[in-house]
Amino acid sequence: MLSLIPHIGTKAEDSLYLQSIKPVLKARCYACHGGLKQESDLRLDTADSIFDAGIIDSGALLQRITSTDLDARMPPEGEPLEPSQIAAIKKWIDSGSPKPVNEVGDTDPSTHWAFQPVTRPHLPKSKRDNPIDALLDIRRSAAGITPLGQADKLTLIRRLYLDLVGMPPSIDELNALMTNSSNHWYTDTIEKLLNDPRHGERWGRHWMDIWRYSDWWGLGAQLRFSQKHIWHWRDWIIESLNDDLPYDEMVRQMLAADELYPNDLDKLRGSGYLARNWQLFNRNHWMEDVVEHVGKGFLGLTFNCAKCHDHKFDPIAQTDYYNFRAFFEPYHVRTDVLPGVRDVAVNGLPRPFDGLPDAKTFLFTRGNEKTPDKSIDITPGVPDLLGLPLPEIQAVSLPDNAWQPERRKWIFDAHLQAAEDAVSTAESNLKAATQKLDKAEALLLKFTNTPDQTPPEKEADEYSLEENFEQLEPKRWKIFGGEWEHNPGRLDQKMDGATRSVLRLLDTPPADFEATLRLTINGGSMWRSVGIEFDSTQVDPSQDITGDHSTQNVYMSGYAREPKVHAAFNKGGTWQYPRGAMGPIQFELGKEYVLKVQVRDTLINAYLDDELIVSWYTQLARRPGSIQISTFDVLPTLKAFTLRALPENLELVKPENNPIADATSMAGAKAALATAKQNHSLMALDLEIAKAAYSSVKARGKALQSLWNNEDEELVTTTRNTAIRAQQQTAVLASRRLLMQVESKLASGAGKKEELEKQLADAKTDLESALKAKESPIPDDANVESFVGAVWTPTRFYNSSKDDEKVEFHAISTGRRTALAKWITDKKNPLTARVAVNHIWLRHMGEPLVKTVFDFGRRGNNPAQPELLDWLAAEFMDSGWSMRHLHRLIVTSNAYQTTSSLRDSDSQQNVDSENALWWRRPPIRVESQVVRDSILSLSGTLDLTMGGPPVEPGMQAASTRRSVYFFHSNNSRNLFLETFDEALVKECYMRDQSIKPQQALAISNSQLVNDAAPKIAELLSKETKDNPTFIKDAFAVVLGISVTPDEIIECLSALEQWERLPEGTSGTARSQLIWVLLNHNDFVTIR
Amino acid sequence: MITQSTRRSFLTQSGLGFGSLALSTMLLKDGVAREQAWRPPTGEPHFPAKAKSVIWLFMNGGVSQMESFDPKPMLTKYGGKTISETPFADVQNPDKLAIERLVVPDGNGNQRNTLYPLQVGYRKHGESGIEISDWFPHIARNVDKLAIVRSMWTTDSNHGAQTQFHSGRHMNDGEFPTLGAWVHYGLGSLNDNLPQFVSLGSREYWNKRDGFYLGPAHDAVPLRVDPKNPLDFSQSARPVTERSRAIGQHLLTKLNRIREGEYPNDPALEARIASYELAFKMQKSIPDVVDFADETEETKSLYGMDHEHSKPFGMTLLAARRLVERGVRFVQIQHGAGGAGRWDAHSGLMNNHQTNALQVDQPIGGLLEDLDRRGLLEETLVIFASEFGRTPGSQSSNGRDHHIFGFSVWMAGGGIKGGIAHGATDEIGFHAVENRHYVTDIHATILHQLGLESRKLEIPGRKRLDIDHGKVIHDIIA
Repeated sequence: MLSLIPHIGTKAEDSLYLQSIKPVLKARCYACHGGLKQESDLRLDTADSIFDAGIIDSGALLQRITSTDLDARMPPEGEPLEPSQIAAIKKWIDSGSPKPVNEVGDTDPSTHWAFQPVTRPHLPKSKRDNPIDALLDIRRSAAGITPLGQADKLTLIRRLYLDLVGMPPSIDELNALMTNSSNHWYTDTIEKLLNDPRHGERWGRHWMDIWRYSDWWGLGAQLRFSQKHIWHWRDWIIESLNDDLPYDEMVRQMLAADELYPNDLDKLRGSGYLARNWQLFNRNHWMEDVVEHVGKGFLGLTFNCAKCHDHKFDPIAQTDYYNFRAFFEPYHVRTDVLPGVRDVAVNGLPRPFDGLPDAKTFLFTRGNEKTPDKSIDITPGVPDLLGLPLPEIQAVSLPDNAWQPERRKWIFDAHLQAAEDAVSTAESNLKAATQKLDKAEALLLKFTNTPDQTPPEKEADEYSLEENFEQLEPKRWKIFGGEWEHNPGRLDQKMDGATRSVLRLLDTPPADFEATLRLTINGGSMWRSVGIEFDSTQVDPSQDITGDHSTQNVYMSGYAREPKVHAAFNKGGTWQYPRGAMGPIQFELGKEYVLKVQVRDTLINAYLDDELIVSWYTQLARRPGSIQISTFDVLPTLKAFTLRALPENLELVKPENNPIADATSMAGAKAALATAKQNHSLMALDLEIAKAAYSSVKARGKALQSLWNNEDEELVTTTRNTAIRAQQQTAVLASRRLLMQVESKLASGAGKKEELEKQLADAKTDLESALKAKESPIPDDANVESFVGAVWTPTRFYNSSKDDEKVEFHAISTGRRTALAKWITDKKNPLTARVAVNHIWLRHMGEPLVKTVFDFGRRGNNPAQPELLDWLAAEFMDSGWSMRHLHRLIVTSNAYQTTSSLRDSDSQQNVDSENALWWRRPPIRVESQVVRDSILSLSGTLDLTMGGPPVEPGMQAASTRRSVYFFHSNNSRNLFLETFDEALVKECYMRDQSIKPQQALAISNSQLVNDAAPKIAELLSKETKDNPTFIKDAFAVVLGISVTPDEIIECLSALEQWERLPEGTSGTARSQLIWVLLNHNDFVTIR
Repeated sequence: MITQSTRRSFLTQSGLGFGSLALSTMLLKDGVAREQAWRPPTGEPHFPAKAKSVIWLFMNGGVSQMESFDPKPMLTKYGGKTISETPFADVQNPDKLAIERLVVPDGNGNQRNTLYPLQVGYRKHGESGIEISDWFPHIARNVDKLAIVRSMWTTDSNHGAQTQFHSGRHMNDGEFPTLGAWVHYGLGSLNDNLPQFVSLGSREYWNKRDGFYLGPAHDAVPLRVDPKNPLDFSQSARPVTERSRAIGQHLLTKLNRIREGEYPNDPALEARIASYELAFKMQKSIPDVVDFADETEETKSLYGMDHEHSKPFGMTLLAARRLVERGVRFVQIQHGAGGAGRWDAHSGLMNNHQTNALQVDQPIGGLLEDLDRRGLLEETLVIFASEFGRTPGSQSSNGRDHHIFGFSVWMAGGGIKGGIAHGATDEIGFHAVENRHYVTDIHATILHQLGLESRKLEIPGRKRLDIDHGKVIHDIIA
């Protein structure tokens, strides 16, 4: 039966082996018995090698693949081979294991194309100006194929604009270009567009895909992924592209700016690349993300496949995976304080630093983090496969300002400025309070000198409600919208986002009332508003208010940029926010506040913690209605609510300059005086505090300075003591203020009495200890509290409910990432330039040269044009890694300018249906951002402001900024952009170009398009009067198409039909036509 | 008559399959793909299907198995005792707890040691006499239609397991297609006027996409039960008369067709034209699905729409029936929006589960009965599930924590046996001990009923682990 020598197979036998057996062996066996590894000295990658191994003759092959003993069975991992696969192998053996002619075995990984050094191919002799075309010609002539002709001028103009700046030319730009008969118009346009700042935004977005840009996201307000203010990195990308910063330098700054340029904030922005990977809960997932995407993004290597076992295709051992991880093991993320902004919640620079220099890397057995192999400390290293050794890792001594960022000059300046500002604010507050006090005294004097006509205090209406939310009584309250959770004593609204929800009181409230709400605000995306509403009509207020409906709303907002109390109202659907009805407040998340609203007729007084914030006559007439608590974009806890009829003799403060002049009774005047006195004392104390704080800041600055400057010990001690005493003095005053506040709360009965009494006791203790501290001797080892120059981003790896122990900043950085960055950007690294030029080519040309853009390993695809890829890579590096140089080269090639039409291309299609030889240009379904930006640009409404914080989701509908500036995270994506295959934030090496009906709906029906169409029609009609010219221009501007006679006829007929409609005018007809063109296939296509 | 294969080719051209078309072209250039002659699915089942559609009822947050479908009287007997004081101390044997992975220690998902008594009574129902808790009387009435799997387990005890239940992988493992996307990818639609994979209800905690590497064409289309605004962008933002729109649509098709002369054989242009035709049809057909004017009062009350507490979910499920009736393949429904899910009863379990059950029980019972009497249950698979169960021990005195070692799921219709309880947990509902099933076993069973073999749907270059495929639960198949 068995022959001793495999015979040369017939065609049918070959097909059994090649079609049914070899693919199985490749999929299941080659990883260990092929080019990559030869476990047990066995190779199974050719029929010859199988035969030579003797396992056919010995029967071992069949025995091992059919064994039921798991220790003996092959393959050892996964399911056994399928019965049909085993049967095929058996059949092949039975037929004498015929071998195909010239069978090619699995390649030796060291010979894999992508691991070979980049050598610049010789350019063939050619008449072509552009080397790209000359190189493409090599294989084209071999295949006897000629590229198609050049696209027409209009198509080329649109191509250049969409490709280089991400939107079509304006009408004027287009007209100028169409009439420009210069020979250089094409290259001139390229230079103009490459130098246009919009170019950086357009290409920045491409790199943001590859580098996985993401704004922060989490659960509600909790930051779990990425970082706040990561937009600095986005701005750095855009600016770097506009400056043509070399690619290798960009990579170095992204991976190691903190070591290479430790004090250069501009460059440090680039290292946001690493801050973006941050994860709150799991360090291993964080590290996995970094390893995977540094590998895929910069090197086209799938390290991630080697987390659990050796790579099945590439020579990357499991230890290589952990060697690579070790580069990143020490790093952590912090936010540096920027000049002019003290609060890193408002702004700051997220960036990496080596906070854990001694952190060890262990190999996880089978990739499981629960089974680290602690017997071996894994050190940083790169796989041998590229034959390029890692440069020596040299620890970096950081300058003082980098690891003690509190030394940066602007930190002290900002503190001093803030303290100065606080003093002037306090001074003017005190001045106002003094005036009020004088007037209140004068007023009371007036009443004292005249007979008291105060009517006896009347019993208020019976109505009085004290709700402590022990129960949520459905007869009393009704909820609309939101996600409310009730627990005894508290009611939480848990739905974040820009929606309204309402808790309506079902009682009929008194017309003039006083309501208080005790609450804390725990979070909320942006506006964080909780309000007491009144006169509300009985609609579902979580929905839009329309028609006759109305409501008045006195709310507090914890909006980070402008916390405030504000009296607003809504009539028939429109909210009005009178500026004068607003007062700023100090706001802290999680702090308890009491919002008190008093209303008499149209006069509203709103207090926060008994401080009058708003006094205002509402402009909306009063009407009977409900009282309700409303929330918007906020996560609050409501703790207590009271409502009572406003006592008749209670004077409300009027908004005029002289708030008390109108007090009409003795009691009113007395109350006003009491308030004025209290206010005055508080303001006086505030001024004292502000002055003390100012001295304290100054003294601290001086003390820290002498410490940092290593001045003599005596001076250090003296300045230190001065600073400490100044701080203590401030603390004493602050304790006094707290005490004063609690006392006044107690006096006025705001809040729970027991709680207040406890607070009072605490405040007294605090004051005593503050006083005592001031009198006590200063210990020798006392330190001056430093300023904050950067904030470590706390993680919760060990306990989700509290922050991990702080990671300190160190004077030494390990230098590991610098070494890695140098290795990646070494010109001898065969992968870096190849991977980058492939990405650039893809985005210009619609298809990459290597299809598997993130996998240049043996499982990836071979380039169809290896000479071209290598020449581009060499040219890229030799140009000093200039992306602009590469852009110029590609867009000036004939390949770029070829038509995308398949008309008259039968011969080419027959030879190369896949266009592997680039005889045509593939059309591109443009990215989501281009769709939106183009619409805005054509309608003349695009806001070209560059940079800065992202446009928040709630503001996007109204925003006309470029889409690259929209807040973009896993949780928050813009719906319109999403419909057009928005980038996934976790992995997006290549955008999808799907075509789905939802896109048709989005363009047909969205506000964006329906607002733009009439504007575009109007712009186009400015100079054009007759319909045929309008149609021609519209096709050129909106679609980049030279209109055909057929198209003109169809459009004219439709215009006529629209005009004949009852609502039809020439204008509406034209905007309908524009609507149609925006929906045209070519609007979302680069031809 | 449109045959299956021409229908499929229409879909491929119409853009609903364009993602896969593009992918196949791409992969066919790939050497590996060529050797293995990989092709995208044809839209035909791999073997004769028993079910056509799926209604997937997912309770966000984690339903307590002990208070729903898996009675454990021992909890009441030993309530208040720590587990180590009971005869069941061995459940905490570390070896048995080893399946739990360390993904995100978020303070929940801890073992709670003090047993918490059952918070609800149980009664036997139907001919099968299977016990179901008193909080689910309407589902209980249909017990003879259900196959309850009481022996589910999973590996990750935080709510990222919601994606695990849908894709087989935890949220932090990366992004993988969900079951609905696989079904959509494998089979396509039975109705060309409607999206084929629909999502109803909020799932804000986990990702909004489904297709991932299968492409966005396989994402679920989110619908709202609101005839005025059932689908994003389904209404023109500016008022436009029907006539005016019709002129525009007509012109648009004409203009695109004219361009075919300039750009012949352009699949994207073809797909774009078809996608517009479909969009315009969808715009008309979708509001109809969620407009219940032609439903009788009797039907509405069957779904609990006459009670305020069950009305919203009743409307959702009535819409679901109308969708599968019209040939939608996969209707994914989420109940309990907000935070990590409303069933997440860390405290106040009794109040929490009772309230939630009131919202869903009657609608689900009504759905099963309505499908049955219309003859739809035979071809519609209904699944009731949540990401994990809850601990036998108590948390914050009156709640239960997340629990991955044993929990319940049930399936009905679509060729599934009725009136059986498959698998079992131990006596305190801690570990699945008999016929244990990982979450993807549910996926495998559903695919099997739809005539699909998940291994035949694999895509080159996107390695799936064995556990991703799951194993068909043959014991519950009729």
